Amino acid sequence: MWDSSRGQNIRDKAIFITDTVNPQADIPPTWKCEIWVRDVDLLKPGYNKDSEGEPKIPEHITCQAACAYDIYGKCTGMLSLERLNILLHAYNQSERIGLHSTTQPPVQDTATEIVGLLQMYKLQMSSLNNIGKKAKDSNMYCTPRHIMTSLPKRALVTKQKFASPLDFDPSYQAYWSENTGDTVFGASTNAFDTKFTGFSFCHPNYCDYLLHSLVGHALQSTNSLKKLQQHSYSSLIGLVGVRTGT
Amino acid sequence: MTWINDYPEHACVLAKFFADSMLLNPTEVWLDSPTQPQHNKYKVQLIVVWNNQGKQALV
Repeated sequence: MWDSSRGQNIRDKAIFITDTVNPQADIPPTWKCEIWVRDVDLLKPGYNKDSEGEPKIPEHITCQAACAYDIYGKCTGMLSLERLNILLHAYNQSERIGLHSTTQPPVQDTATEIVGLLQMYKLQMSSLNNIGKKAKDSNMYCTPRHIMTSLPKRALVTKQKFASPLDFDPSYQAYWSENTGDTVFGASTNAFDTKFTGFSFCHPNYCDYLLHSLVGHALQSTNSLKKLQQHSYSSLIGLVGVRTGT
Repeated sequence: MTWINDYPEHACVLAKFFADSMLLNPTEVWLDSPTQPQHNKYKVQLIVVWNNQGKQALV
């Protein structure tokens, strides 16, 4: 036992953190979630090989990013500034039209919701490790931007199915997500609850079951619309990964 | 994906992208370090499911 009476005041104020802290990314705990836009030092992995076939050495870069911190000051993840703006806009718009008042659990502040979103994404990514490399690969990357921008212009697409607040394209009128909590960021949930009408696009996660359900639902929608309304159109355009030979 | 052929009236393959033919964007989220744009490692297809009205609106 420490029976010295000296320095008692300082000892009372001291906080000992037993978790590991990354001084490059983490901040002292503020006991609330925070988003900080800051310069971060990162290592850009060397994916390609050089002329001698050796993997390239990771490159050190400094860039501005929006860092999301949990209540302990741990960096949950980083967002590009563009995506942060998209999320903030979607959050405000969703609040304005009253979606937040019906969301359960009750909506906290923007920072808490973004940290929650990143934690959910992290969990999904780690669960993909068990499914396989192909699923993980297909989820780390999103549809090329030129395809996304040309679809509304050339194929009348206005909706995006099986998207996420972290990758939806704001130029589309609406998007559907698999997570119910994403309504905080303006997402509609459960794409299978209603018939597909109009023109939709999706780039689903690599999953045979999901793909079958998706196309099956689209086929049902086209058939039922044909019976109900002669002039209703329905179309689903999807970018899907396929196994060789299937 | 051959089962798409079972619905020739409503489903068809619009385009096929062979491996390495398309540059995929990394997500705008980094959990540890940023990812770089990367070519698709697997064959990818652009498929469409539509009814006649949808077909006519596009063609």
